[in-house]
Amino acid sequence: MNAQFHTVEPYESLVLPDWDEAITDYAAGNLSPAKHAIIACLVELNPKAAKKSAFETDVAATLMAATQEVPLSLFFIEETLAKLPYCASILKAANDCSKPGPTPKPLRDLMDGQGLRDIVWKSFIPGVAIHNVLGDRRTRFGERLYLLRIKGGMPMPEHSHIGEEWALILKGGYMSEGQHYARGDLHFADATMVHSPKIDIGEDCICLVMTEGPLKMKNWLTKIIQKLVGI
Amino acid sequence: MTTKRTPRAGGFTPSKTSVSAAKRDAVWLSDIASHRDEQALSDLFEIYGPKLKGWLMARGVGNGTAEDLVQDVMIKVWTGAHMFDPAKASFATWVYRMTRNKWIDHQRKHGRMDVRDPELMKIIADDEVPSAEENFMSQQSADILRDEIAKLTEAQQMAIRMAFLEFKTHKEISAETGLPLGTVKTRIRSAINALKSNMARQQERLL
Repeated sequence: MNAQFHTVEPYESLVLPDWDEAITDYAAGNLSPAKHAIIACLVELNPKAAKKSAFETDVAATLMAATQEVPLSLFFIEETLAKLPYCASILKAANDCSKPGPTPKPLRDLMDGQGLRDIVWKSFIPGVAIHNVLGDRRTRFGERLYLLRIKGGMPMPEHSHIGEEWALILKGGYMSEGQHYARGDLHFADATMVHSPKIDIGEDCICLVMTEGPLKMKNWLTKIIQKLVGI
Repeated sequence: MTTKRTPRAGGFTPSKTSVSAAKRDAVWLSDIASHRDEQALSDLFEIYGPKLKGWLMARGVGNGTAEDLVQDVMIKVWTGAHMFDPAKASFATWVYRMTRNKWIDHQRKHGRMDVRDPELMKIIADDEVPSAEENFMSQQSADILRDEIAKLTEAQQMAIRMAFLEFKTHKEISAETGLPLGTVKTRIRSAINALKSNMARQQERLL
């Protein structure tokens, strides 16, 4: 039998410093639902992230097997056996092999099976539209998870953040602080940064964004619209 | 089947029987997939159920909810057994991943301030299909991994446990221990890298 390790190599070419740690927290199950969703999508799009996540999930699983066991209640197994579905539903599951598309599966799962082309976008300002993924308002963790679609060639309104912002690029790309981001790249920004990413000319850019608090818009008009759409 | 734990500063010793355990799990899975063997499913969860429940309860999940989540996972193993490929992942990794994702999903559903249609939420919660992804280790390699973790230095084992078993993000660990975030990151990363390079050496030996 072939030992199927994912190849082990140092992460020499990592540009993003926080990415590494986020994968470890993801593998261990320590992230909030919004951050977990972002990293799950990153892992699907980014082979390096996938490699690291696979190794660390193996580690986490190995350690799970070594945690303190808690006995199941007396009739747990019997009760579960009584609830098992019949073969019909098993066959259905077997056929449920959805093909990989532009929308990462973890995201589609959160959007009731919808893909990027099916969803309804809310206009934010001309050229910028949003679609809320986790609720219309903040989650208990104080985070928002939404999709942002920005017209090619446009600069995003200048803004900073109350907390962290994680943006996973799903389509198109942009420049921010002298660095280019494209599909499968994860862009971290913290509360100290004021930025205005400039979208590539030609193609619209779609990002999956997690923000820990509301964005702080520089412009008063965008501030008002922001209140209305709830990001 | 018990993994004996001997004191090594809270570490755990590798199980000599892990390879046969791997084969055993794989046989049970194929029995479930091929002829809906309920006994095989029961046997699997006699072993893994208490581990998964323990993992959940260590995260503060109550007894009843922990069992509900383990039950969901057990049903998924039943309906998804045909998708399990022992050459691509160990059963432990497969079932751990399902449990971890169930737990995140549970937090998502119960952590919302806005209430959406409960029927819709039910549909969303149920549609995750378990899959054994290519990137994971084979069962054989996962057994080596267990041995390699046990061979790390105490400090390295502690860092790994801190990251994977204390259920805290790097930031939370930093806040609690008073260690700078950079130090926490470096310690955890260097322990993971040590584990990786040891695994790489083992890999070369096998090929």
